[in-house]
Amino acid sequence: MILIILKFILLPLLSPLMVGIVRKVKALMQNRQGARIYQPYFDLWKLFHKDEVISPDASWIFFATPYILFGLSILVLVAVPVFGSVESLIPFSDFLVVIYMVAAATFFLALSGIDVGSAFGGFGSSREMTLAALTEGVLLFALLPVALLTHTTNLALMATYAANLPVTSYFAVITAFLGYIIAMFSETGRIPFDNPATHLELTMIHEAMILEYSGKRLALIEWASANKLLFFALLGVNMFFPKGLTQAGDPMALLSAFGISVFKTILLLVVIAVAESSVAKFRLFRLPDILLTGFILGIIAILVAVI
Amino acid sequence: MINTVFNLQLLCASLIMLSIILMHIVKKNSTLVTAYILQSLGLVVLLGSGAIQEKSFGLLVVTAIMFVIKIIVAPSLFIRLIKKSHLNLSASTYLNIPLTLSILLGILVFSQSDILTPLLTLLPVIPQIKTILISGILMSLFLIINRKGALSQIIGVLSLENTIFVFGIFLGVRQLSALEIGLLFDVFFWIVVSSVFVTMIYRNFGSFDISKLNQLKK
Repeated sequence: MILIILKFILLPLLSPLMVGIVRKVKALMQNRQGARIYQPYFDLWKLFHKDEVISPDASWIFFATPYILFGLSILVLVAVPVFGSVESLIPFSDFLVVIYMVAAATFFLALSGIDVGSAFGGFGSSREMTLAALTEGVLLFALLPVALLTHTTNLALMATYAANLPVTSYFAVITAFLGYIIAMFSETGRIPFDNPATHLELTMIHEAMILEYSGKRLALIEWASANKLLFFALLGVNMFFPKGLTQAGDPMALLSAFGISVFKTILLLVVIAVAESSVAKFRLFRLPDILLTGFILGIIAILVAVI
Repeated sequence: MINTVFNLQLLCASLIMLSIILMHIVKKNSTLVTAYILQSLGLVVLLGSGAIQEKSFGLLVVTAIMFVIKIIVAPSLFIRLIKKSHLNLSASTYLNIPLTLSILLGILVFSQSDILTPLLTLLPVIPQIKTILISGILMSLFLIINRKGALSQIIGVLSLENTIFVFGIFLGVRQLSALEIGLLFDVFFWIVVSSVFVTMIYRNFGSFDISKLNQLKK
C-alpha cells in the first residue's frame, strides 16, 4: 500500500522532468542551448494559473476529458513495475488492463477533439483513431511474447521473471522490444508519427485534438501526456531490460531498484530524443506501414517465443 | 566456462539473426553496411569463443583473418563505394517493409515445418536456435532476391555466407584451418571482384539499381 502511494505521488512529479530532458537533448542535437530541463514544471505552473476559454458548444465530454486523461495516466503509471515483484499485488497491473486504459484515454481524447465541432479537432481525432486502431495491436503483440515466456500477464511478475530468462529467449525479447519502440513512438506522439513541438495543420495529430483547451484543463492534458511518456519509457526499460528489479521487500533493495529504473528510463529517453532528431516526420499515409512493421515484429517474437 | 561460452554463442546467433532483420528493414546503404558489420562481429565472437574454449591456435588465426576481412576490409570497401557514388539512399526493395516482414514471418514458420525435420535433427541445439539458424539462411537468400541495388545484393550474398558459416559451427563441422583460411581468401577476392563490378555498373548506368540494367537491350 505504501508503495502504491509512493508511486502515486513520486512518478507524476517526475514525469515533467522527463519531458524536459527529451527537449533539452533535442535542443542540443539541433545546436541550440534550449530551455532548462525544469521548464515543463514552470509551463504547468503557468497554465494552472491561467483562465480558460471554453467553446459554448462544449459538452460534458470536453469538460471531463482532462480529468479522465490525467486519472488514467496516473493509474497506468502506478501499474508499471518500478521496484520489482512486490508490485504484483497492485490490482490493475495486468498488461491487458493497462493497454485498455491507454486505449480508453486515447478514445476520450479523440471524443473531446470532435466535441466542440472545430475542423482542427475533427481531423486530429480522425488521424488519432486511424493510428490508435493499429497502435494498440502493436503494443499488445509487443508485450505478448514476454507474457508467453514468463507465463504471466501481471506486469510486475512479467518484469521480474523476464530478468531470469534464458539466453535463447533474448532474440524474441529484443524483436518484441523493436515493436514496442514503434508503438511507443506512436502512442506518445513522437517523430516520425507526430511532432509535439509544432502546430502545423498538415501534420499535427495530438496537438490538433487539444487545440481548444486552455488554462487548467490544458495543464492537466499536458501533464497526462508527460505521464504517458514516463509510463511507456518505464514499461519499456523494465519489461525488456529488467535487470535491477528486486524480488526482496527491504527498503534499501527497493530504493536501489527505483534508482536503477529511473536511470534506465533517462537513458532510454536520451536515445529516443537522439532517434527523434535523426529522422524526419513521415507522411500520414506512410505511418500504417511503420505500425504494420511493428506488428509483424511482434508476431515474429511471439513465434520464436512459443517454439 | 562451457556454459558461459555456449550462452555467448547463442547470443551471437541471435545477434546475427537480428542483423538480418535489420538488413531487410533499412533503406540506407550505409546502415546496411553497419548491419553487416554487426553480423560479422557476431560471427567473429562466435568463432573466437569456440577457439578460446578449444584452445586452438589455428581457429584463432582463422578468427583474426575473418575479423580483418569481414569487419575492416569489406565494410571499408563498401563505404568507399557509397561515398564515391553519393548513392546512400539507393537500397530499395521490390516489396515494401510490411510485406517483406510478412515473408520473413512465412520463412520463420516454414523453418519449423516437417519438411526440414531431417535437417533439424542434425543440429544438436535447442529448438529456438535451430529455427533461427535455418530461417537465417533462407532470410539472407530472400534479401538477395528482394533488393534492387547491386551493393545490397552483394551484402545479401555475404550475409548468406555468414549464416551458412554459423550453421556449420552449430552443426559441429570443422575443417583444417588451412582450408578455412583458403575459403576466407576466396571470400575476400569475391568481395574485391564484386566491388569492381559494382563500380563499373555505376560508371555505365549512374546507379546501383539492377533494374536499370535493362537499358543494355537498347
